[in-house]
Amino acid sequence: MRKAFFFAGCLLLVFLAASEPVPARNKADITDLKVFADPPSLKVSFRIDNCFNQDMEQAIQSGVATTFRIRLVVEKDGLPYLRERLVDTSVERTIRYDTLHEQYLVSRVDDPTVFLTTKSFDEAKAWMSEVESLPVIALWRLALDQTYLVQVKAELSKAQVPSFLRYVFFFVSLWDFETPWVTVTYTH
Amino acid sequence: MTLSETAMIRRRRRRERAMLITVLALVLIFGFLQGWFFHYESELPLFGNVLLIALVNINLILLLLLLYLVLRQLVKLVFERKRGVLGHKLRTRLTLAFVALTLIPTLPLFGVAVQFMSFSLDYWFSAQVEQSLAQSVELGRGYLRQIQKDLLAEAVAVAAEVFPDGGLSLERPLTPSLAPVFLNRHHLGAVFVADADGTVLWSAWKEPEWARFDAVAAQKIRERVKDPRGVSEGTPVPMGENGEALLVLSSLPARNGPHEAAFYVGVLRPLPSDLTARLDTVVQGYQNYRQLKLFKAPLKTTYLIAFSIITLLVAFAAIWFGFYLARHITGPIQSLLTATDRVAHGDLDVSLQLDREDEMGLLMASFNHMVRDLRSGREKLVEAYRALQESHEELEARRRSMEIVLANIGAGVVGVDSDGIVRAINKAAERMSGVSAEEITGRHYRDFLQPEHLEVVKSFLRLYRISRQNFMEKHVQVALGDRSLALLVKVSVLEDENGRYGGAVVVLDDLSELQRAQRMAAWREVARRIAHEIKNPLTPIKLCAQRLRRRYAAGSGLEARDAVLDECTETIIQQVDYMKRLVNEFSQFARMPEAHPRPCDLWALAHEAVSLYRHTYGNIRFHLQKSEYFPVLHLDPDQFRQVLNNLLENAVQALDGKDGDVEIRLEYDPLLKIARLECADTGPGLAPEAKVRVFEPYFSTKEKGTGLGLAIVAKIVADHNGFVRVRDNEPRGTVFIIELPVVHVEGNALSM
Repeated sequence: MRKAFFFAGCLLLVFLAASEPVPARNKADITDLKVFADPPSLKVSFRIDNCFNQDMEQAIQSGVATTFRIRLVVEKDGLPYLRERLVDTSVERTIRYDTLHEQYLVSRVDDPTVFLTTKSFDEAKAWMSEVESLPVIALWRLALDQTYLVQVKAELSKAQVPSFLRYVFFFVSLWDFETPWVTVTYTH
Repeated sequence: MTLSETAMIRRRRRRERAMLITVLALVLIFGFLQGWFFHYESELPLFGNVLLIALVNINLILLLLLLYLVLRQLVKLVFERKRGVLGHKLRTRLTLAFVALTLIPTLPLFGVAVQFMSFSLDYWFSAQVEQSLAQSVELGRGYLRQIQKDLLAEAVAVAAEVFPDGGLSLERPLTPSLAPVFLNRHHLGAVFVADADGTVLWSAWKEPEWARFDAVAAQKIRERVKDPRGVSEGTPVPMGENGEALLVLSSLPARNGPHEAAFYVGVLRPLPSDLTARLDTVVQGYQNYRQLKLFKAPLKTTYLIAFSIITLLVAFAAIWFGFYLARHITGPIQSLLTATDRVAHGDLDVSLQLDREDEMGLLMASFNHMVRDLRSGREKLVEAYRALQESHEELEARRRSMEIVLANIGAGVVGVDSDGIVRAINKAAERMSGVSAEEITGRHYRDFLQPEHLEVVKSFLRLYRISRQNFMEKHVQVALGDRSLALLVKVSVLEDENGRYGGAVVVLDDLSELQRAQRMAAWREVARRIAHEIKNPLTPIKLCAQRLRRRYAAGSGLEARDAVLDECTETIIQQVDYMKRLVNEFSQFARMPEAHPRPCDLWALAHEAVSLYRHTYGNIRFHLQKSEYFPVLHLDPDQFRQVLNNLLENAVQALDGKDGDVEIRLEYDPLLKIARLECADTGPGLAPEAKVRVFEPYFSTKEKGTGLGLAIVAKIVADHNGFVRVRDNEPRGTVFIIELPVVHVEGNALSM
C-alpha cells in the first residue's frame, strides 16, 4: 500500500513537472513597444506579431469569440524581486465574427462593451494586434528623474467555444499563444 | 506459514481490495464531476480552471494507480509461476479466462463504437449538411439585404419628402406630433439626419421611449460614415428588449457638387423579434456546426481517448475481478494443496482455517477431520509400534540368548523345516559335521548329506512313520572323512497348535570321546584282571616247565633227552615268557601313572628317539623336521618318550622290514596356539575301519601286536589335554597327528 502511494506521488510530480511550462504554439512577440508621456498619463504603444495562425483565423470565422489579454506592469528600477510594483493590470480585447451580417466586431480596450465593426478581417486583426496610446499610469504618480521599468506581455485569454467542446482543450493543444515579457525603461 | 502470517496476508489483501474499489469509485466520481464542470460551468474563473486541471490530473493518476495495482497482481502471478507456487497454474488459467471473457466482447465493442463514432462524425460534417446550413444563413442574409434595399428606397423617399428642395435644413421638419404618423406611413422606427462627418443633426423616433437608443444609433452612423465604401450597407442596431433594428444611410449631394455628400438621411426599421430570434438560431446552429467541424479531428481524438479510458477501466476492473475470483477459488485449493503436501511429508499437525461456508469450506472441514483421524490413527499406530518394538526386542533378546545357549552347548542342534530345508545349525553341529552353517542353511538335507548319512535320516523317517512318536533317539556310528563319530541322535518332530507338521529339531550328542573313555576304562579293568588272574599261574607254569626240563635233562630215569619234550618245554617256557610280557604290558597299561608335566623340549626327545631307531634299522630313512619356531612345551618327558617310541615302533612295523621313509615333523600354529607332532610312514596305510578303531586297546593289524601301543599313545596325549588322530599319508602310508595346546608363552619358553 505504501508503495502504491509512493508510485502515485511520483506520477503527480511527473505530471506537475510536465504541465508547468506550457509551450506557446505561436511564436508571438511584442514589437515596437513605445512608452511616452502624454499628460496626464504615461502611455504605451506596441504591436503583437504572429498572434494569429490559420487555425485561429478559421475558428474566429466560425464564430468563436477570441480574447487577448494584455498584461501591463510598471515597477521602479531596482533589484529583481525587490522592485516596487506600481501597476500590475491587464486589459482584454475580444474579436468576434457576426456571421449573419458578415462583419467582425472588436472590443475597444478602453471600453470592452463597445465594439468596432468592420467587414475586413485584416482590419479586425490589426485592431486586435495593435495598441495605440494606452494609458498605463498617471504621470503624477511618477517621481522625477526616477527610472521605471514598463513590462508588457500578451496572451490568449480564452476562446469561447461551445460548452460541450471545452474539454477538448484539455486533451488537444490548439492555437493558444503567449508572448514573453518585453521590458522598456522610462525615466521621468 | 504461521497463523499470524496468514492473517496478515488476509488483512493486506482486504486493504488492497478496498483500495482498488475506492480508486475505481474515485475515478468514476471525478470523471462525472469533470464532465459536469465541462458542461455547466462555462465561465470558469481561475479557480475553476485549476480545479478542472486538478480533476483531469487526479483522474489520470487514479487510472495509472489502477493500472499499477492490476499490473502488480500480474507481476505477482508471473513470479508465482516462476517460483512454482502451488496453484499458480489454476490461478493463471482462471485469470486468463476472466480476462478473455471480458476482453472478447469489450474490444470488438470498443472498435465498433470508435468506428461508429467516426462514421457519425463524418456524416455530420458532410458537405450536404454544411451546404444546407450555409443556405439557411444565406436566406437570412438575403432577407436582410431585401430589407436593406427597401430601407434604402425608403431613405431616398424620406429625403425627398422631408427635404423637397434637396437642401439641408437645420430646422426639424418633423415635429414630435407628426413624426409617428410619418414613420408609420413609411414603416420606419426612426429617421436620422447627419452631416458629412456622421454627426447626427436631428432624429425622430416612432416611440418616444426609443429615444434612449440615440447614442447607439449615432455611434453606428459615425462608424458607417467613416467607411465611404459601405455607407449604404445596412447596420444592425441593438435595441435591448425590442430586439434588433436595421439602419440604412442615404447620402444627399451637396449643392456645390453632385459627388460630395452634404448630409445623410438615415432610416431605421426594427426587425420582427420572432424573425430575428429564428435568424439567431439559424446562425448559431451554423456557427456551432462550423466550430464542430473545426474540432472534428480533436473531437475524434477526444472520443477515442474517452472510449479508451472507459475500455481500460472495464478491462482493469475485469482483470482485477478475474484475479479476485481466481484467488477466491484457488486460495483454498492452494491451502489444501499445501496442507496435503505437508500431510504427505508426515506433518499431521496441519489444520486449515475455516472462513468459508460454501462447498469449499465443507471440503476444508472434511480435510481437517481426515487429518485429525489420521493423527489419531498415527498416534495409535505409534503406540502399537512401540509395544511391538518392545516385544520384538524381548523376543530378540530371547533369541540371542537361545542362540548363545545353542552356540555354547556341546550338543549339535540342527533345525529342519517341514520341507526338509535346513533352517538353523549351531556351532557344535558345525564342528561335528565339519560343514559351515552358510553352506547348508537354506538347502535341503538331501542336497549335501552323503548316502550313508542319508540312510540314518531315512531310518529315522521310517521309525517315525511306524511309531508316529514326536521324539526319537538312536545311537549311530558314522564316519566323517577320516574320523569316526559315535552319536546319540535325538529327533524332536515339531507340530504347530493345529497339529500340523512343522519340521524337526535334531540334537546330536557326540559320544565318541565318552565311548572311547569308557572303552579305555573297561579295557584297563580287563587288563588289570587279566594281569592279576593270568600272571599268578604263569610263574608256576614256567617253573614246572623248567623243572621238567631240568629233570629230564639230568637223566632222572627217563630216556636221554627226548627231543619232543625238550621242544615242548621250550615252547611252554617261551610262550609263558611271551604271556608274561603280554601281561606286563597289560599291567603297565592298566597301571598307567599320572602325568607330571614340566617344561620339555619335544624336539630333543624326538631327536633322541630317532637316533636309537636310525642305528637299529639301517634300511629305513628317518627324517626329522621342525618349523622355524617351535615352543618349549609343558609335558611329562618320560611319557612322551614312550609316545615317540610307540609311534616309531608302529611306523617301523608298518614298513615290515622293507625300505621306506619315516618322518617326524614338529610344527607350531601361532593362530590356534597348537603344537603339532606328526609321524608319517610310507607303509601300506590303514583301512578306513581300522582308522576308526586304531586307538582302541587290543586292536592291532599285526599278528603279534598287543594293540596297546597306540592306545597308550592316545591315553598319554589325552592326559596332556591333547588330541591324536590318524590320516593317510601322501602318496602312501599313514600319518599320526598329535595336537597339543600351548596355553602360556613366557619369553622364548612356551608352556602347556
